[in-house]
Amino acid sequence: MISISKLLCGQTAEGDGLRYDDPDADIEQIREEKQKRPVVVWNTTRRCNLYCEHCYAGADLDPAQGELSTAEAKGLIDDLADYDVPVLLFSGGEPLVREDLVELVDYCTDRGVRAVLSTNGTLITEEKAQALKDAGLSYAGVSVDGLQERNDRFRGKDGAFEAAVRGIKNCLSVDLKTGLRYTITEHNAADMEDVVDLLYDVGVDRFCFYHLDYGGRGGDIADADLDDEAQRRAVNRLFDMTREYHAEGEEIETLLVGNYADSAYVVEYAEEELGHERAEEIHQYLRVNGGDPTGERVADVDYRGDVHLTQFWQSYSLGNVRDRSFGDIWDDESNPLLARLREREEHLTGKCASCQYQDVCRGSSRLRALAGSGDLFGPDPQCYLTAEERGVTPEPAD
Amino acid sequence: MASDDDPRRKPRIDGSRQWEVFLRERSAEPMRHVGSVTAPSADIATEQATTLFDYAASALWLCPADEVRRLGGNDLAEKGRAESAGDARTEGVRQ
Repeated sequence: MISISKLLCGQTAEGDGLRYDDPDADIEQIREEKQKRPVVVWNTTRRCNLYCEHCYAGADLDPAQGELSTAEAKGLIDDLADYDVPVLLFSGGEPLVREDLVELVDYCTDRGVRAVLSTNGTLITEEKAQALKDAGLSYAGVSVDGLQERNDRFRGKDGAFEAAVRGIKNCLSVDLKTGLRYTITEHNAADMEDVVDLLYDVGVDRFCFYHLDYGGRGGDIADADLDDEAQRRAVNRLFDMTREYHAEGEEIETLLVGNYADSAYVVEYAEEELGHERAEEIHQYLRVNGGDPTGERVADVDYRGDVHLTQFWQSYSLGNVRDRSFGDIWDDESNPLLARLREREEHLTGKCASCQYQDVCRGSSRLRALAGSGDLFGPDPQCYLTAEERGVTPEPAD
Repeated sequence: MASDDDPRRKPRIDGSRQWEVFLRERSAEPMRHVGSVTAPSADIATEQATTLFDYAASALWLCPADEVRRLGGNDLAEKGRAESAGDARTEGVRQ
C-alpha cells in the first residue's frame, strides 16, 4: 500500500510505523517498526452473496467443501499469533456469511493480532457492526466500485450500492473505522471522484484504490484494465484530489494498492509539484516501504487453508496450514520460487532490470508479469512509466 | 487424517483441480514438495509448474491433490480447542 496522503500531504496515520518505519507520537500505531512478518489475508469462505466481475477469489453463491471449521480457524489464528503476524484481514468470499465471524474476530484480538475486515458491506446491520466493534475489529474496508448503476452491474446485483452505503453508515454509527475499497478499471475510472465525494459526505475518510490484478475472475477481465495513459490520468487525479481535500482542511487518507509503478510516479509528481527536496524525502519513505510485498510483507491463506504469495495469486500455493504451521511454510526458503521472489532484484529482466525506480517498485506484480508474458521475472505489463521516467537514455538516432 | 473425509482431498467447486508439485534439483538429491498448482487440466497444471520451477528442476512430478493420502500434519482443530479451553486466552494479550 502506498499512502498518498502521507507522502504528498504529510498526514500521519496508524500504519506509518508498519509501512514507513516512521511512527508519529500522536497517533497510536499498529506497530512502531516496519513489519518483519507479513500481513495475512484470510479468505474465511468462498461463499458470497454477490458475484463480482473482478473477484480474485472466484467467489460463488454455493458453499464450498473444505472450509476451515471454527476450531480449525482458531488453531490458524493461534499459529499466526505465535508467528507474530501483526494484522489478520478477514476476507472472502464475503466474510459476513460465516456465522462465527464475530467469535473469530474476538479470538483474534484476544491473541493480540489486529483484526480488520474486507467486505462488500451489504450484510452489515447496525447490530452486526456493534458486535464486530465489541469483538475488537479495528477497521472495515467496504468494496464499492463505482456509482450506483455501474457498481450494481459490476457486482451482479441490483441494490448492491445502496446496501453497501447502508452498511458503511451502520459501521460509522457505532464508531467503527470504515474505508472504501475501489478497484480501478476502464469501466469505473470516471466515477472515482464522485464516489469519494459521496462517501466523504457520509463520513468515510479513508479511501483505498486498487489496481486490477489478474487472479481469479480478475484475469478474465484483464482487457478492461486501464491503458498507460488512463492509468496516469487516474493516479494523477487521485494525487490532485488528495491535495485539494487537504487544502480545504479535510484530511482524507488515500492509498494506492497493487501497482508499484505508482511509487515511481508519485516521486515524479512531487518533483514537479513540490520540489526536489520533498521528492527526495518521499523517495526515501518509499525505499523504506520496499515496493511490491508479494511473498514477503503480505500473505494469503485461502478458505481451504492453502497459503498463497498474495491474495491475488490463487493458482499457486506454497502449502497448506492443515499440513504445517503458517510460519513453517512461510519460512521455508528451500522452495526455490519463494527464495527467488525474495531476491527478485537479481532476476528481473527487460525494462525492470535497468529502471532507476527498482528500489521502490521491485518489478511490481509478478502475477501480471506471468499472465502477460509467461516470464515470472519479466516486466509487469501495467508499468506505465515512460523511458525517461525510468531513467533510460534513448539511443541517439543515426 | 488419511480418510476420504480429509478436507485437503475435497475437489474444488470451480471445475479446476489441485496438483501437488514435487521437484528434484540434482539427481543425487531427494524429491521434495514445493507447493501446488490449481488448473482446469493436467496439461495446464504441467505448464504452470514448469513456468514456476523449470529453472530449478532436473525433474518435476505432479500428483492430483485429491489422490494423496496424508498421514499426520498440523491439527488446527486440536490447537484451536486447546487454546479455547485453556488459560491462554485469559493470560492476556501477547504483543
